[in-house]
Amino acid sequence: MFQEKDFNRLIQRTLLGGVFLSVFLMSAGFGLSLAGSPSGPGLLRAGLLALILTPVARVVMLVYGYWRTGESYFALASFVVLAVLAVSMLAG
Amino acid sequence: MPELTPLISLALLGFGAAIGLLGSVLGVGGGIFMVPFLVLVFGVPIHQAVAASLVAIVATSSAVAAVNVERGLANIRLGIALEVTTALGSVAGALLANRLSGAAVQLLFGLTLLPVSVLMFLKGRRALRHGPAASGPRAAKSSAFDSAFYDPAAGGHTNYEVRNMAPASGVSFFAGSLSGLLGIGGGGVVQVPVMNLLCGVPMKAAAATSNFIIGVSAAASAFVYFRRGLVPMELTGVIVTGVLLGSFLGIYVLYKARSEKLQIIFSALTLLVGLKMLFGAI
Repeated sequence: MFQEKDFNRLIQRTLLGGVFLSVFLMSAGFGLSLAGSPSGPGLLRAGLLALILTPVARVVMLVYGYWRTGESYFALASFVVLAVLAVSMLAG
Repeated sequence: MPELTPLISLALLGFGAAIGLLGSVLGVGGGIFMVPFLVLVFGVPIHQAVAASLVAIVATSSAVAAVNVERGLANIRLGIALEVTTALGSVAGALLANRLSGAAVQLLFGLTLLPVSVLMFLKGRRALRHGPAASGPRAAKSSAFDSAFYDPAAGGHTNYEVRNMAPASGVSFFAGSLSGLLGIGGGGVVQVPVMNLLCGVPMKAAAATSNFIIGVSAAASAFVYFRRGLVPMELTGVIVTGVLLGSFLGIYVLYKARSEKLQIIFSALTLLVGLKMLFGAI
């Protein structure tokens, strides 16, 4: 049974996972840039992109979580946010 | 664009940490301070400064929300409900951006914030005089938005009911429009008073929930800047590192501080932002 505690943990892990992945990529990017490696800027860019996409991943997990807990109103609300987010990202 | 010497990097790191601390304790993004700072002090072009500031808001929001969700401080249901109208409002604001005068919107925004700051101050001062909010065992929920959290400063659980969701959604639409119109990113400076004054959410939970909300709208705008190649990679990387350090420190401060004191500090921030907007418009 998917409970509120599991749901909160899922959101927490998604957000922390995104932040730590981004910090890891950015640190590697900075380190390699200082060492004069050509792959440094690419990793830094990937780190920033991972950070920007973290809240989007969080909204995806909200849709999934509310769908699993059967709270259709909140699942729909999360889906609307995801749709608006996708449109403004792609059309901007 | 400034060259990132060790001294400049250290200054950016320190400034980022201060913004992260402010953001995580008060639930605001801090873009309203970060953009002028980068432009005026470091000579960063405005679009790059806005882009760096938006990425910094995403960093604060993601790091802080992760911890606040686990502690029950961020009210996810309230957050997602307000996110719907905020997101729709930001699209409307972006569409209206070319039709309305920026100065007129700024004037209206500034004038709205002044009474809000007075109300926040009075509410915080009254609560400080009469002691912390009622605490006790968790009460039965009367709506899906009601929640509770453990407050170490009050020495117990704080239960709260969420009121006036319909007008709050309307004001959130307005907050979203402002972020689209004025490019103020998250708009936490509107969301916190909406939750605190209109919905009756305690300041701590309002700040945590606002932090949860603002990452989404900032991410949407940040992605557009990123795709257009306007994010200054190294400068943003340094600021984000500072912001993350400050945010994690802020999580501790938010947990320990009293809601009423935060409310009074927030009222000062609202006054400052309101005056800045008024002077910017005149």
